[in-house]
Amino acid sequence: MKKILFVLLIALFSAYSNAKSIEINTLATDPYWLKLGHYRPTTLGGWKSEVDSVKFFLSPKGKVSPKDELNTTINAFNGDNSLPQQTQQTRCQFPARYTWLKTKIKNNWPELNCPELQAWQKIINPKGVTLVFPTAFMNSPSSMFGHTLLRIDAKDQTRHKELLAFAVNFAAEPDGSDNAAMYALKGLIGSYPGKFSLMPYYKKVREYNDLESRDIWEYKLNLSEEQVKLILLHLWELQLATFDYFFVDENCSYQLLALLQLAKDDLNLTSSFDLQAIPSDTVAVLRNNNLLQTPNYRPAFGTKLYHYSTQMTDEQLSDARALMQGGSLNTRNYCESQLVAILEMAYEWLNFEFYDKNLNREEIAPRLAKLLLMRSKYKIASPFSKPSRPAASPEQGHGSSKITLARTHYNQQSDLTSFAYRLAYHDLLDTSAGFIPGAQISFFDIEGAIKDNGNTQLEHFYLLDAMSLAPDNRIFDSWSWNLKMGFDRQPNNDFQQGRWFTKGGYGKSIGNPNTLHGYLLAQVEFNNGDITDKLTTGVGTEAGVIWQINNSHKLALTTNIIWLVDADVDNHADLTLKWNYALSRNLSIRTELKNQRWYTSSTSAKLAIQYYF
Amino acid sequence: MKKLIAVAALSLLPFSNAMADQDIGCGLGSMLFAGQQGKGVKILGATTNGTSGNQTFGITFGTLGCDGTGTVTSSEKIALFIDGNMEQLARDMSKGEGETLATLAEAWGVADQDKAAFNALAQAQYSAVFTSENVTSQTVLENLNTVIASDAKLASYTLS
Repeated sequence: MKKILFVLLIALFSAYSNAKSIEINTLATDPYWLKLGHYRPTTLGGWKSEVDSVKFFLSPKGKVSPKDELNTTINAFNGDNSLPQQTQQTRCQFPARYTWLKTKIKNNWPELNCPELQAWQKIINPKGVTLVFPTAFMNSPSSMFGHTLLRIDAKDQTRHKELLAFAVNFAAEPDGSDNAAMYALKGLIGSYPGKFSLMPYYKKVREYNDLESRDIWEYKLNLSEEQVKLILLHLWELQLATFDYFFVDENCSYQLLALLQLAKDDLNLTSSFDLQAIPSDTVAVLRNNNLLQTPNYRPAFGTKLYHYSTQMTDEQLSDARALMQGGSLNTRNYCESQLVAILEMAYEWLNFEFYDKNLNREEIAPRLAKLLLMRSKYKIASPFSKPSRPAASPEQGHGSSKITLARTHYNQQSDLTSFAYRLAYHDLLDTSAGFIPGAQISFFDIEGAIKDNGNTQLEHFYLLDAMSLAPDNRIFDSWSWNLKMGFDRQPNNDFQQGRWFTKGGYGKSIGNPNTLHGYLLAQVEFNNGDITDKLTTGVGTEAGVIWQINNSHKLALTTNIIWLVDADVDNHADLTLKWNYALSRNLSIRTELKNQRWYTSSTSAKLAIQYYF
Repeated sequence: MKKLIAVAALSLLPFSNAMADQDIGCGLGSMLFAGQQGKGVKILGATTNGTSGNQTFGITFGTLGCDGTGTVTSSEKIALFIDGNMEQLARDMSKGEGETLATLAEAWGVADQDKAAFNALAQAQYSAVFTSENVTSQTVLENLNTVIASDAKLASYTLS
């Protein structure tokens, strides 16, 4: 009898422990647990966490085993083999894990009691979350890849208190012992670890709006107070976490999404990003999950300055300029509000140049102080209107990747059908809604073709094709530039021959990038490949006119002539007319008429359909 | 006010290692028109997204008091805000309006019905608050507090 009882007990016990291990197995692959550990599936069917610091894991195998980490976490929360004080400390280090597991497994754990965490929550006083998106700044197309951050909106927040709210930032954390050169290099190649941090929002507004002069978009997110609380509990855990910081993927945008998806059990924001997450993609994925509200717009220092200048006459501007240079105020027969406009303009303009051109403080600071003092004597409101919000906000822009199907007719060789792919991001002919006008950055743009005679070939490959055409105007003196590197084809008798090239230009543009806009650049070029047989150098010029007829039509006429040093031909040139017709946000038709000359001349006509995603 | 001066004095001391993380920014030494970090840093910002090379922020930055323990007090918050917004505040005060001035009024606890008087006082007393281009944020705070203390309508908002 005893024996039977014993067997029964064993059977019962093993059934119980089986049930328990099944429970653990299921929980270990629960999407929420995987999100808490920042786990991603590996190619071999295992798991690996994106967190790179050992301290973030309780189990030594935690980085690669969600299950080990889960077991160790449960044991630690149970207080197995540890002092009560230690158990308490672990619970307070991982409040998001604790809160979630408490509802998922059988336990007799107490309510979370962590004074430091509670004090922190009380100061932040969270109610909502806002996604903050500083747009690119002029003359730096690379900043299109830019930055995003979060703002935690407090319960007692008003429009005028949002500067005091807290911002959650994900950034590379430099090693303090590195010198400036090392810092620059390591920062650029992204070898510093990434970490989350918190700081008053005004610090970020000063940085992006004022110092870097970038417009900021602020998207309130559709999240409940309870959901925001969950996000913050996990942020607290991330104090212990560092991430290998890569420039293109695993960057700030990606990591913010990884944090935000803790808001809900079924929210998955990161899985669609295997290769890249750039700010506009972040915005797009949040839009697709119905999390975005209509954004608020914060114009940059430069945007405001330019807008103020449009409200002044030439004479008023030159009087402001004289004041800036240390002269006295020419009052002419200005009324009080005109005088105030001149004083305010002189201050803002001088302050802008002080930062932008790194002017000498000894000389400039007393002038700035004097201008403010003069302004304070007039007890009237500022006469300037504020810049209006651009018609399209960034989430309304086209997708950042593009595929193209095209048919090209040549006068000197057989026609071809081609297929192209561009990884990112925006060129001058793409619809500008939601983008910075006059700036282009194409990254990894490749086109393959099948000729009608059956041959296949690489048509072009641009690793990078960047252009920044900030126009000169009454108050900004800007330089324009471009940089292009990759492979294309040039005419040689009855076929197109390949070349690898790098070219860069520097020059000026005029006009308004939102309407009609022209540029002229001096260029240097290096060629190699079949068409030249050896490395050749060239100098020349590139010029163009771009006309944005309306929101869906753009027309561009560009020309390029390069004189080659020590080559079989004196020069090569091209003349191109392009027309882009946007059918919808993510669909457009592009036609291109092109004449190219190298050994011989070729003329082609191309019709393409483009899809952005 | 004594407390604020104490905070300011504290900030002049070299940071001990234990305090270093929380203490950055609690110093009230920022000068008006302090000038710009180099353009290299600006370009670099595109990849590191860090604010600058020598500041370390943690998850608790700005939530703790200047001594690194306890939560940040409202007068410390005001001091930090002025310190981080010197130019914008100077500009807004010279006009008697603007977001930075409005935020300061909120942080200072000025009631809605007194905000117009606060703005008008800030503009009228501009030269008494921003005394020169070399004024530091600590002096700005003290000057502003003095100006408020001697204003019949707003004296009750004086920080102690």
